[in-house]
Amino acid sequence: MEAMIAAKESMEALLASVAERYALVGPTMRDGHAMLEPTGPKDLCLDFQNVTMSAKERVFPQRQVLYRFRGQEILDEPPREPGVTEVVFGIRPCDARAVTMLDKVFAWKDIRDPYYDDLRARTLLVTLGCTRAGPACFCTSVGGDPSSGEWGDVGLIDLGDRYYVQAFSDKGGALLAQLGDHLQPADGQDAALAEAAAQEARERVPVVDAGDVRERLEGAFDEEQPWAASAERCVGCGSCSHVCPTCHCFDITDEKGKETGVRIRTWDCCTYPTFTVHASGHNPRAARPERMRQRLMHKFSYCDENFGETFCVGCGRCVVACPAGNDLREAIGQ
Amino acid sequence: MMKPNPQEQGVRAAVRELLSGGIVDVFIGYEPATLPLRARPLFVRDAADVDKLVFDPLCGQNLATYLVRMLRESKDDPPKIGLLAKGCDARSIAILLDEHQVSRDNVYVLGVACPGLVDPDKLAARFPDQQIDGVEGDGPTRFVAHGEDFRETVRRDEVLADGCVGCRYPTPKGADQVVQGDPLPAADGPTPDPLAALSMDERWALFTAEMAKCIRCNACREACPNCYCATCFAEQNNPRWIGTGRDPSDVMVFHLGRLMHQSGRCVSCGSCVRACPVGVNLRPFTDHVVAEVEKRFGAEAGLATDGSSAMTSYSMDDSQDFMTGV
Repeated sequence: MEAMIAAKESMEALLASVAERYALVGPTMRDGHAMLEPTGPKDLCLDFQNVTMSAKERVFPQRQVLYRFRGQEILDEPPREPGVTEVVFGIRPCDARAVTMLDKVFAWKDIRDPYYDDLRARTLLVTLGCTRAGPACFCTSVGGDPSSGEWGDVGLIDLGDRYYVQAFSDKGGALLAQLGDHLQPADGQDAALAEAAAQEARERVPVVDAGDVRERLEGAFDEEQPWAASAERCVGCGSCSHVCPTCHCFDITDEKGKETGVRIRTWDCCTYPTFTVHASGHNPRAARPERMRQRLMHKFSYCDENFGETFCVGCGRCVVACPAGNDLREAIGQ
Repeated sequence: MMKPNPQEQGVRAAVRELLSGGIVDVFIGYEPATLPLRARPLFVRDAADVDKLVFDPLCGQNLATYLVRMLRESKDDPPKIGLLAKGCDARSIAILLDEHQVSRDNVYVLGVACPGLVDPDKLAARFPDQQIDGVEGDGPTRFVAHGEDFRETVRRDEVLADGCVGCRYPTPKGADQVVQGDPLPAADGPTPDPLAALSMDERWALFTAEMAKCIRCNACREACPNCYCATCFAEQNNPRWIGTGRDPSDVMVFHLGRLMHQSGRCVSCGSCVRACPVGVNLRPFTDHVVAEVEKRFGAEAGLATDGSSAMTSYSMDDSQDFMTGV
């Protein structure tokens, strides 16, 4: 599909046109944090470093009602995949890439998760390439790209007074067709400018030498324990995994009322002592070093084994969020 | 490498002696974190690491939160832990002693006269074009911010962390030793109650707005030395009191429960607020709890270790009216 141009001065009209058709979700500023929330064309803010909570929440919410039940009877059918109902506008490429990783988790060994599939099918992802790197960014060191729209449905690159717009899926192409009034075809010069901007953005991202990280961590499992220092600092909160766009461990619980109840899925977190505690009371990961090891091994070894890629997109959120100053870059760099 | 400030030099000298004399097995202080204007804990067991220790107004985290964790994980062979403590941190240690969570024999309190903490955001906003490498106290009313080819004074009250305004105990009490410096002048008078002037509707609006941000990651709880329960009520499942997700009622009950458990125990160190990744400001509510306990019981947290604190003692003369009215 040919590339398009959207003038910045007509963005509000473009977003209004999106909002007429779909629920609009995008970055909004709240007390100094950019949050990804349902918003309107006027409040959506495209001048931000990165949203504090990733786009993960749009397809894998922190608390999701799966179905209602009465006794043994399930009252709700599994959802059927609908069409697009929500446009998530302006997320960073790393967040869209993370969603493609979640796709693999929820379709593992061809077992579909209808509750994930439902939200995923409803959601259309529009990425906005980065113009500056955050203090803890390292996406290019783990296979990412700060400008590429390839992991979402539509990708935008900032060209100063206008955006270079490309569709990367049929869903994205359909959206651009609907927004035709607000777009002009891009020319060869725009394409060259976009490539130059993308190259500049890539060069701005700090580099971490994460080569062979899987082999190094696996080799250190028993003896060297490169996670020992961060485990000692770790206070056992879940801020790292809650802000992480790829962390996907969850818990399923029933909330029962008098006659009916709901089965819900909530995020779990490997740094919590309760994460692996058995019904007997035994906990195979009783202390913080074992839990920190799990956190690193899951991302950089087990996910690579199961899904063919390490589950870190280099967004740096865990580094910024950690109240004890732990830095994943130290744990995976060499 | 920055030249150490005089207080850091004092801390390093003291820690060197504590380790070489076998008085502590491990000392917990601060080192610069990997992100600008942040410090993080440093666990020193080897004299070779002593010169990594720093202390400046960016050293916020309340290190007392590690005491119960380390002692629980070590079980049979509890280490003797040395701890760097600002005034508020020393009060947290006093609470752990008073509540019999930590034995006085297991902890050596190396106090530091605290210059007050700098709010990194305020500091960065004050010097937007400068790369700031560090900050130190400079007499009672100023900080010095410095970087390469740059050294400027700034009024302390311009960049002081909100939580340090009104601090009554910048210099620790009950420490084994105190490294002096340029402490924040101690305030006096009752703790202002930020909710006192608000109507019930206004309080509710403030509370619901802050609670709407919460992602239930538990950073506030884990950063708090007072939150040492082996199983928090929020995670008990037999019976289960609340859900673990972001349902607004679960979020509110979690925080109300945590706040109630802080009665007579919160030392206003601000660790919960700093730890929050999404900017939930618990300060008005913790201050309210502190002010209420002062008003009703005439008690301040973390000053007694003999069982006479508001939470651990009961007297027939205790105020009862909190149960019957506002």
